[in-house]
Amino acid sequence: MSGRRSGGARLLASPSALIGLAGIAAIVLLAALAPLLPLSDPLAQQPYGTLAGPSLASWLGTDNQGRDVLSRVIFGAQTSLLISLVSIGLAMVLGTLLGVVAGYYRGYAEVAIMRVADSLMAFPSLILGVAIMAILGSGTEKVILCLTIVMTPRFVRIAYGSAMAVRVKEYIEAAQAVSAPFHRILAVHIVPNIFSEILVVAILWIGTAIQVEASLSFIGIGVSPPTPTWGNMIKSGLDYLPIAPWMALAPSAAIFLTIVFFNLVGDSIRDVVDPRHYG
Amino acid sequence: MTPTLHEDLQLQVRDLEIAVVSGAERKPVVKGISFDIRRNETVCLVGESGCGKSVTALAVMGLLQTPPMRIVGGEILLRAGEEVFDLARLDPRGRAFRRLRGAAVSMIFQEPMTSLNPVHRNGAQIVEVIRRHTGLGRRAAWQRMLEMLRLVGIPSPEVRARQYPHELSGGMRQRVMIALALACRPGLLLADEPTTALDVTTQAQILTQIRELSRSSRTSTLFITHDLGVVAQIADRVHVMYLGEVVESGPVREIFHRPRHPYTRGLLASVPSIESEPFSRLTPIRGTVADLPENPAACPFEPRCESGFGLCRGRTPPLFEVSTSHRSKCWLEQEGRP
Amino acid sequence: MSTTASDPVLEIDRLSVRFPVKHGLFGLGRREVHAVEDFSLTIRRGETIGIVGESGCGKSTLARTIMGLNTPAAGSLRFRPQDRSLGPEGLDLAKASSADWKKVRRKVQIVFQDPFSSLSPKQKVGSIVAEPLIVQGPSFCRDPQARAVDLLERVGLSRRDFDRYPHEFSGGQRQRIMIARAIALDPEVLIADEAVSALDVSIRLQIITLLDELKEVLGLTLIFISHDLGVVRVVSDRIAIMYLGRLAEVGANREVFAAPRHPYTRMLLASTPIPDPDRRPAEAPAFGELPSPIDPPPGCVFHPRCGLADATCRQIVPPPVEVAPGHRARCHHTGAAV
Repeated sequence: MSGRRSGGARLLASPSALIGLAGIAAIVLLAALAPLLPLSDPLAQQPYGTLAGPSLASWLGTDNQGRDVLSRVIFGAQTSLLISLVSIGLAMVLGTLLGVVAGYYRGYAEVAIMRVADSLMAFPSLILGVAIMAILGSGTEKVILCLTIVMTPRFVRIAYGSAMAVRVKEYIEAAQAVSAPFHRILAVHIVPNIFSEILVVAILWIGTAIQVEASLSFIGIGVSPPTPTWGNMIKSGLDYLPIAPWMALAPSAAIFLTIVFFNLVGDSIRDVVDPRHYG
Repeated sequence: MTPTLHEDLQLQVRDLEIAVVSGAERKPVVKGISFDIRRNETVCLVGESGCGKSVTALAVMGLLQTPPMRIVGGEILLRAGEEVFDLARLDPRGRAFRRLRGAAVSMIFQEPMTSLNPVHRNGAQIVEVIRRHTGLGRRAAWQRMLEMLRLVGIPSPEVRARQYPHELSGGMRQRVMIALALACRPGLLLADEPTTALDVTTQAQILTQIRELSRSSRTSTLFITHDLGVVAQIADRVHVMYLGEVVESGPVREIFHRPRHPYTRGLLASVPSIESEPFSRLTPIRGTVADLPENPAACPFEPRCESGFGLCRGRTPPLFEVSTSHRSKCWLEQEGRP
Repeated sequence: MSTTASDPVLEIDRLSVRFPVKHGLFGLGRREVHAVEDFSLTIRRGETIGIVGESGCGKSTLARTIMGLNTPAAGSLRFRPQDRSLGPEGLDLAKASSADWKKVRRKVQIVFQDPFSSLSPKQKVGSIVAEPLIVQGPSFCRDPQARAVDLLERVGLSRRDFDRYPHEFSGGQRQRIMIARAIALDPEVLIADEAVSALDVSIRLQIITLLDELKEVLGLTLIFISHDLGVVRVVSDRIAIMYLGRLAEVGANREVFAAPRHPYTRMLLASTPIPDPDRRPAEAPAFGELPSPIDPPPGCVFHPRCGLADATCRQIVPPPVEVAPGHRARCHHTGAAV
């Protein structure tokens, strides 16, 4: 039993995890360092250089207003990543808390929390997102709030199921038998034992959040132009697809790669924390 | 060359070695054990968890988890009608083995729910096995099934046959399992802790049932258990296992009344029984199975042994013959020692 | 064994514990499982009382109710009934507030059966053992870490084990960790709920011996719950037999084993395998199965499996009959010849 390698070591031994981690690191670094990179201003219009194909000056061409597509994809990553990471983080904390309370206390808390979560889950993410944005109005913070509301019920479900499985374990009873208060049982006994499971789905759902964010921007109710996001870039690129395909393809490829990288990492972590690997 | 088997024997296991193989690494779990089962005889493999007793039974049944486990040496000779098969060389997934399983050798487990299919009715599962192996017609197979359920002591078998496994109690399910296992009158029954999950009053009923059935249907039984009380109730001969080796074997009375190996003695001395004196200090065997000798060539039980001496730390003892039927793997048996 | 009947530490009086179960379409029907029913037993300071019964007899529910993990439906559990500082009849745990419980829990602790699920896999051993001390707060123990190390050493582990995780330990060692945690608060009463059942024979006795030593050193009252009559036989001063949530018989160890007065006790004794191959029962010593606790039989709950049952047994619940001083049995036929 003692000869087992740690989870981290096993994760780094898997090539797909390495590819995913490297990809995410590259995207995050590019987005974070965007202002320092020798990129042209993503908002600067060049009336005489619209819809130019890829060239040495602008690697991914320019858009209909003459803005550099590469620069916009990289600055767009800032917005897209910020929105999806923050909203998934918030949804994870909130959802885990609510789910654990529902699963541990049962009774009225369970009925109240789970009914609300289930009714929210009944709508497809995008439809729910559209409805919420219609109420909130557009803007980056609004999109974050909207995505948090969309994603929280999913975490509630997962945390609820895990908490139900954990609460019948004798170590929970053993904690109750020494009068451990709920916050201690939650922090010491429940969360550490369900955390890896929740982390895996969180990573996998970052992709979903990016998708929903892009879709909202695409239909024009997410982050408003001119701030570049991958979603509104695809939307404006679509009109020019026959003559300037790079406008839509570049942000699409960015979304695709980001989702693939997060899924690679998520799947690898799942393999590592899979109960079958426990001795 | 076709394997041969003495005509008295139903099963002969010779120098069986099973290992967990991962890459170039081989971790032995069964280290060259030999035993045989005569016709119409019940043999017990007894030992604590991790001693290799269940793995041995799974190997006979061709149900080893491969990979990572593999038979790396030895033979398992099984009589099936007029023929003899070496199961160690038979492909467990092959047709020949499938034909033997259920017909010549069958197995009952600790938890019957794992071997009964929850979505099929109890009766139908037994009928299917009977028809697969005997070619009996639907009606004849149904009759045979009812007869089997009656034989294992299930009241109103017509009703029980139409129920699903989850509608039965643990004891009833185990009876259905036994009926299923014996439906095709196999020559050899493997029973892996079949009563461990049951209550003691149910266990008593099931043990009596197994004893009667093996007598009446002339089945040989390999019975695996950790419970010495159960061994005393059911065995004709006993093999005591420790860390993948048989350390003592002999007729049940010899083992219980004249145990020779320090491990067997230790086990017998540490079992609280309803006839123990209250508050009598039974003597536990010291340490745990994880305590291995520093010298890998030494007797594996040496670190826990009360009667160990110099020789034990140097070399693993061979199986010494105590009498024609009784063997002990201990240096104490070496000639010239008191 | 120097117990006086005048010094009860826990008085269980006509205790009933019921659980609602859903059944029928959409779970609309509600019925109750009578897990413990009309159960009375007085536990004396310093004794070891063995509580025996088969699965579903309510013995674990009883333990959990004493620990405040279930709420009784009726009856009372009077802790230290003669301690006027707690109340007119001690402290009734059935009505205790959570502040009362926090105090009582210093005095009553439990060791669970499954050494694998009773330890949180992500918590280090030191933290597990120190947890009760941390919950009680600094006024109870200034340095929980140092005390945890002491406790680990007391149960036969070492200070090196402090920073290890449960999966690095064997079943027996995990049970030692649980015991260290249970004695951390210097309890008066320790409940061992099937604490040795999941362990291998050679380890089982080590844990029993440890509990016995701790009992002597710490002056504990031990409630030893088990399905294994042999284990209870060697550790208990008194024995209580439970059947389907009811007390069947209670009395001094030797008396219950030598002269059992309840037919169920006799059935249990006859069903327990004795590790002696010369004493095999000719026929099954038991028949029938445990009825459903949702729908218990009327009258004496044991009557469907009882050879002595008559019309009275089928209708009237037997009252406890004092068959000898301190020896009670709930049976209409306590005088019947064996």
